Amino acid sequence: MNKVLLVIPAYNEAENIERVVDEIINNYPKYDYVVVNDGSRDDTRKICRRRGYNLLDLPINVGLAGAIQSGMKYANYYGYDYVVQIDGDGQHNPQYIKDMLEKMESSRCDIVIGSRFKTERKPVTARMIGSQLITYAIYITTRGTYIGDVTSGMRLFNKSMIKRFGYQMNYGPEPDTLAYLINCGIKIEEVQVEMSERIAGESYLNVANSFTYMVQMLFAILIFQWFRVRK
Amino acid sequence: MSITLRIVLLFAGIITAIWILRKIYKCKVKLGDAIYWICMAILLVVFGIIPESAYFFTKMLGIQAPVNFIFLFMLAVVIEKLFTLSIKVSQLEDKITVLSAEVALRSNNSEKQITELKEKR
Repeated sequence: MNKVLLVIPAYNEAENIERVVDEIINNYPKYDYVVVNDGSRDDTRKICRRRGYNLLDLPINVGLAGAIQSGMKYANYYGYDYVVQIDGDGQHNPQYIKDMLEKMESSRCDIVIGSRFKTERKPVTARMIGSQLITYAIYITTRGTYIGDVTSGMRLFNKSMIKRFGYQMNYGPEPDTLAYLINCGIKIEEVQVEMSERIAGESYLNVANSFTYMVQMLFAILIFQWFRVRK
Repeated sequence: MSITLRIVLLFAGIITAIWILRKIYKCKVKLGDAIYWICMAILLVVFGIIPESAYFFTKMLGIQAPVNFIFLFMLAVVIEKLFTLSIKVSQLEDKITVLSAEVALRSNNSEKQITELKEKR
């Protein structure tokens, strides 16, 4: 049996974290988990301490990439074979982890994305138009790899990806890293999952940040990835 | 603009681009931070190749010589960067303060726990 770790980045998720972690503890005890508290200003840390959750408590806010990196380091330190990234807001249902693990074993790929749009159609909203733009950018720059849900926060990584994401610069859990990895010869697959709407709390990506995010992603995918060292 | 200035601008742009792209290759810079310098490089090259773009702004702002506009523009852009960097440094300093306090608190806490455990034995 391979060791699977669920990494749950949580920034100001006091209203959600209990529900998310209890669900995992009660219904999926076969998976280990670690909550990465990314310097939250609310009671996230207090709640985790009180409930005795397995917690990586970052003293300051370092952003999603930094939180994931900490989780990856934890996984590497304790010798886990697989890491599943799951948001702390309860959008992601752990029932799909099984499908994702099966997909990884059957297709021998390195990353499996829990995708909302593998078999379903993408709705037309401002956010999804942005998502589709990134999808096309990846499609063009990787000569035909189509990733439907590029911004999905539910991803499964294998051991070699744990090392890369945990210890290298510019390995944010974002679409530009996916494009770069595909061009490095890394195999990425998608599995259809259902995601629920966030019930409480605020998202990492608010409207004000979205524009900067798009600019950063498009620059990184269309220009910068050609100058990164390939390995 | 003199042809010499245009050539200098062109080379400055190209060298800036090569320099930042090399940093990306060597994993010495975050991709988000490189965007500013790439845009800067592109602008320098544009001013070098199409000086008419600078003439337009020169006329609009009522500046006598295009070269003065280039100086003004570079200054403005650099000051903007200086400003954001200064803000960033403040934030980083603050983060270090918090970080060191937290490290001290946590090591103090674990030391206390260790001594408590020792006393119990």
